[in-house]
Amino acid sequence: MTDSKSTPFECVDPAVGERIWRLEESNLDASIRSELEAHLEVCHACSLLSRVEVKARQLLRTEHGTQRPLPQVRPAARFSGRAVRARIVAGLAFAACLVLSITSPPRSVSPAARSRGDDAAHFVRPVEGEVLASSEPTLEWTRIDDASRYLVDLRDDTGATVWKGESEGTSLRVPTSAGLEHGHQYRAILSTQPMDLIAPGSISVLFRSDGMWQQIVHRVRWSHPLLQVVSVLALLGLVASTLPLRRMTQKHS
Amino acid sequence: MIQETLIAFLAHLRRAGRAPERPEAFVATMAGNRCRNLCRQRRRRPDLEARSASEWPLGAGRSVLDLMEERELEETVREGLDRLEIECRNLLKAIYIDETPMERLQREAGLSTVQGIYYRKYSCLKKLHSLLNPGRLGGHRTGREK
Repeated sequence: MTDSKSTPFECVDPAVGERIWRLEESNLDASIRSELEAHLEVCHACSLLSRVEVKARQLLRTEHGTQRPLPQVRPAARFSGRAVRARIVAGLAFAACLVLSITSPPRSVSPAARSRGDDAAHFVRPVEGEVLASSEPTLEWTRIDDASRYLVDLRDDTGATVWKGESEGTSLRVPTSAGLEHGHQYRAILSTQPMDLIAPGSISVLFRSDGMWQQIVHRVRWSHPLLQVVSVLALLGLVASTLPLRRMTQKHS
Repeated sequence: MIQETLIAFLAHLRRAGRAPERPEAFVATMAGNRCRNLCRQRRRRPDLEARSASEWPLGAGRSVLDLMEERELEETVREGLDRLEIECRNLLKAIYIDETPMERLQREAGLSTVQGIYYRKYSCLKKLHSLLNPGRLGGHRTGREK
């Protein structure tokens, strides 16, 4: 042996050592994996190689300023699992609230206006101030005793009548021929036959014809207060379950 | 050292479930690596006993020596990365920093299987390893140590 010459570690079994990279294969046969892991335990050269890999990864990431957590950092993984579960629950709750807000009838925009459940005769749908996206909206009202026929007078925001309809029941579809225009408000006035059952103009509702997006926004804005509270709580939960994960990620990076 | 090596070899046989093709070369290389490692560690700590130092880097316990080794390893790997050829450096960066999926690297390299990329990465690490292994980490054999 010559003095002061390098004497590197040598692989104890090069035939196995040449395949050590296969440990990264996720679907590696169990017997091969066991053989390679056993080799890694006794081979200084291959063990050093794996340490070099870990160190190279750390250094490259440090140089790049990322320093992302290594795969074997278990605490971060456990934390993210809990955070993901919390986020899923909060997200589902928020989505459910949003769907309910959109599909359920909105509140009246006017506190003085009659709403569903009142005893006195009134329009059931639309409610006061509701935005309707349909070009053929259906008007519904409560039954009035002794009324044999109902008459609906639809007027635009200038007060001009745009359509009149009659029904023997408590609902009536406004036809497309009525020409409801988006962005315009309309008032539906209900009268009966015989005419003396209700005071003229006492039962009416104001609504606006507009696009689908405006209808969704209106329904969310005027959804039931309880639904709004739950939505806000779910949204806060969603945000809260996201923030700690970011902090944790930054801490490890 | 011989006893330790033989015991480790027997433990390996039990774990691996099969004998190497050339057991005598296997054991001799194991013993050689252990001797080199002992010499390397004795240079750092002349009073180190052979028994406690022979297991590196395979022992589970960590000591001050391990911390020193970590620092030494870091320095040498950093030097090695600077000297590593650009293709290998780019590949390691793509895997470690950009976390590019192996499938994408495989497509970009025109390889038929993703194992090819693993092999290339392994080859690059071996180059890095070879830049380091003959140096401080591999130890230097001198007439006195022999």
